[in-house]
Amino acid sequence: MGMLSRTIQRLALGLGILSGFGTVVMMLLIVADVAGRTFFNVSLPGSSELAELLLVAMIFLGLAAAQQRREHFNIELATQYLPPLVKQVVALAGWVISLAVVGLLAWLSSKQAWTAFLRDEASYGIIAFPIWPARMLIAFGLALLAVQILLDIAGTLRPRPAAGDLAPQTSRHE
Amino acid sequence: AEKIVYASYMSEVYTVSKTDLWMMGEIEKRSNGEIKFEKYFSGSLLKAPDLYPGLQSGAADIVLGTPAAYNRADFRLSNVVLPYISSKADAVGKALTELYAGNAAFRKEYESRNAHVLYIVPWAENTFWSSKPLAKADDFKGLKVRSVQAVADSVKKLGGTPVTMAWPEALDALGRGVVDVVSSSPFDSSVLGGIHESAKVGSDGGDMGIFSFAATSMNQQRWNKLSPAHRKIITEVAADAPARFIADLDGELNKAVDKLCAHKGDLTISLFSEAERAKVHKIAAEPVHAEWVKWAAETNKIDTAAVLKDYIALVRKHEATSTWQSGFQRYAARNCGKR
Amino acid sequence: MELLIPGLIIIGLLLALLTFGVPIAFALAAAGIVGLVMERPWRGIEFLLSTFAYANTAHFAYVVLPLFLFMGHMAFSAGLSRRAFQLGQQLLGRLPGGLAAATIVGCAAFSTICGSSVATASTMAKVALPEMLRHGYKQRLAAGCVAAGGTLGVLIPPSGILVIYSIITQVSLLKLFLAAFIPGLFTAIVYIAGIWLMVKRDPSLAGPPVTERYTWRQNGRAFVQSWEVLLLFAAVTGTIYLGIATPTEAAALGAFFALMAVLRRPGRWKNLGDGLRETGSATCSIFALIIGAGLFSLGLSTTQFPTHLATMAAGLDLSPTMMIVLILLPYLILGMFLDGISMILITMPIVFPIVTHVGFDPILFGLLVTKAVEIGAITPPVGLNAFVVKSAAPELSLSEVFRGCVPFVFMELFIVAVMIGFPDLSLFLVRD
Ligand code: NA
Ligand code: NA
Repeated sequence: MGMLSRTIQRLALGLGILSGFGTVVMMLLIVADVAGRTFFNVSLPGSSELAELLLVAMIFLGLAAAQQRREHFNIELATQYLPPLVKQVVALAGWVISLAVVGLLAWLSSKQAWTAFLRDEASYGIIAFPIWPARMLIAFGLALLAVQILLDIAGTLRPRPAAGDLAPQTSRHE
Repeated sequence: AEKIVYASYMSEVYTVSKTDLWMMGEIEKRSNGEIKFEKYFSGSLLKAPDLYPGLQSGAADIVLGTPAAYNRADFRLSNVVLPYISSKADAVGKALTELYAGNAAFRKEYESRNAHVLYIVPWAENTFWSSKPLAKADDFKGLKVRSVQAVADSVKKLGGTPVTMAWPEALDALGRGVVDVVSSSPFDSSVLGGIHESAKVGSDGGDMGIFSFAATSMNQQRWNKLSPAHRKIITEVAADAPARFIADLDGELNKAVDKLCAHKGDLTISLFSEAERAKVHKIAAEPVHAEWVKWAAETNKIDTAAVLKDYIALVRKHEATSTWQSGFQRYAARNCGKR
Repeated sequence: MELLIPGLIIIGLLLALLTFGVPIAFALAAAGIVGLVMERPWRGIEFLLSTFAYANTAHFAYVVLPLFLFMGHMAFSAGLSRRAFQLGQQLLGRLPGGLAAATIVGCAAFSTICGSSVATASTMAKVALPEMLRHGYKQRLAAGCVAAGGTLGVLIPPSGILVIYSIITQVSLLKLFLAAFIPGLFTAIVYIAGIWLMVKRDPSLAGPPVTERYTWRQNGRAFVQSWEVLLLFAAVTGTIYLGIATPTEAAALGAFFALMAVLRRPGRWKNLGDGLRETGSATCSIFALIIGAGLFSLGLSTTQFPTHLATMAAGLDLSPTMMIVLILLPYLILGMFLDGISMILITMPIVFPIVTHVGFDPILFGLLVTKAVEIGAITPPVGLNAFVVKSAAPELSLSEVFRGCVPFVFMELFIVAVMIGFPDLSLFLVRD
């Protein structure tokens, strides 16, 4: 368990770092497209589809890392004045609900990704840019997020939890 | 009461949305409020490519969509509305309604995907909005043309480069020179959407004619669940919808022509001459039709040539009695602006 | 009223989950899914949920968000805020309260290349605040003008809040950016005038005027030295306003030049790495919110709540303007619990249908909501920009920072009134 859990945590963090790099690639892609159009009257075919795919990769590959670092926005309001045990229970309930939501989305997205792969689903334009890779990334990212939440829940249930292990941080902004 | 969820990718201002709104209002009225609609416009429930797949799984009960454009591989026969067949919207509309009723293969494309078609309406004829001259077959050469479906195939045959782009981006792209021409856009909605303001030339591209249609369909299971009385009401109202749409389209085309005539900017409307039209047809019409026949038959054993023949025969039959004037013909008759 | 009950259940559920500290994105999604389950057959829901994440993220136009975030980080790392402030200092430094005015100019200039209010406030807090305190400015004025000046970050395009507003309401981002520029500039001018009046009335607020005199030549040189700021301004705002580039392309150009500015300086790889990591994680958490808000919106609208509410609101027989004021008021309170982006994403599904129903201009509403959100950032008890200033200058007390914000809150209310009274101030550029 410990080994597997550590591997998954590292994988999530690694993908989180990778996710940031998408920005630079998108930037270069669009700058090249603008430059090509302005100076050489050529535009990069498929560049906008590729940028979309990169955006999807950025968002979904980084979700689990954001969860691991507690970067998803939340409100710390009522819970901060609760007694520690109650606080822990409430937090646990919250994470179980989150797990249910993310798990459901991950499961359904996986089914859709598989269908898309079988159908060789592509965008409707001249360049039939494949859509299934984006759908697979989404399914994978959501599944990883679900696993991460599960690991966090397991972490709180362990006998010697650091107090407020899962207590949300104050909300982050912009 | 029956609650029916309606989804469309269009906003409420479009002619076809108005027809759908009329239909829903009429059904609510005639059923004494027993049927109620929940309406999602502008892709707020399902985006354009998801409309027909969503209908199939019951995410919406009624959708207005263009499956020929957005789910091209699944709706191959629906791409039978090919360029250079007709500009007469009323004739094409009637032909499509009869094709759906009479051609089992065409109907099956919808039925096999859980869609009970309520009615089909044609878009107005295709237009070309260009920053470069576009009055002869040769003018297409080297132009980057925003286009989809068979329009793009025709552009390729004529020596242009088709470019894919969503409509809102296309408006912007023409102004900034990302593309030279914006096409695959019906006469009425292009002018009402203001694309002529970004163009130097508006062209009929050699009278390419009507290139696509929209189908309003209902989920088959949802349809089966309705009482016979409710089904009867919907069928009756839906039967009147195409004629209403054509009447509305007539008004919209006139409005668009008014707008073109009143336009103060530097815009030339180019209508291809008889000779150039023939040239364009020779290059693009038959080869594109032949390609469609082959492509549409790729994944099934349907005699697609027969479907095309069937469709064209129906169009010709209704053209014989049609007095429909295309947008460009109306514009020419008004004798306004630069030509 | 009973028509509203299913919707109220969904909203109640959302509030409960939020109070229990469930991350906002998951809480929104949970409430939305419950709404769908209440109203739709499962097979349909399955399809919606299985395609939802893709349909609501894979848009070329949305690429604008990470690019603007990245550009802001790079502009910050490159220290361009200092250049912007110095420019303001040389232009206005010798006037009474000149350094405070220069801070506003610096904020405004930095805002044209950064789309975040907090980032603008925090970077200016590091640059301008020590300078003002050193020159004997009262803490109150110094802190207030940095906190308030920060709000220009989202008022002057590019603007993160307006990008989010555009994504959730489908209002054209280009039009929002075009419309926001004049009110943003107007805000800066009102701030400067307000500072001037305050210092006129109570000269002890500001230290003695800065004595250094600058020749035209030196001013010219300051201008030239801020060439990176000007280049970024030209690449982003210039290309958008001249119609050369879409907001997405402008963001890419801006990000590119800002990256160049970082790469010219020491610490380049660390700054780049930090910027990428921060951009990645902010993009993830913001889009998680966007997906959640989209599901919430869908679940809520299947209960017909927004439609009924809009009909009821229309029945109140208020003028559209009164209605808008009523809608905006809660934002001042919501600011106590939520950041701007979350506030917009949670509330738009509920209020936006009312706005369109009463026929109020959705572009102007976007600007007004941004204003309301930003007023929330400088009012107690929770005011993000005030917190940022406080954390940048620990020697200040928070209450002193908030006291400093008070005059700016009044100026803001005046500006909002002008924007509502004269819609053309915002809209004349985007009229068809
Ligand atoms: Na800004
Ligand atoms: Na506040």
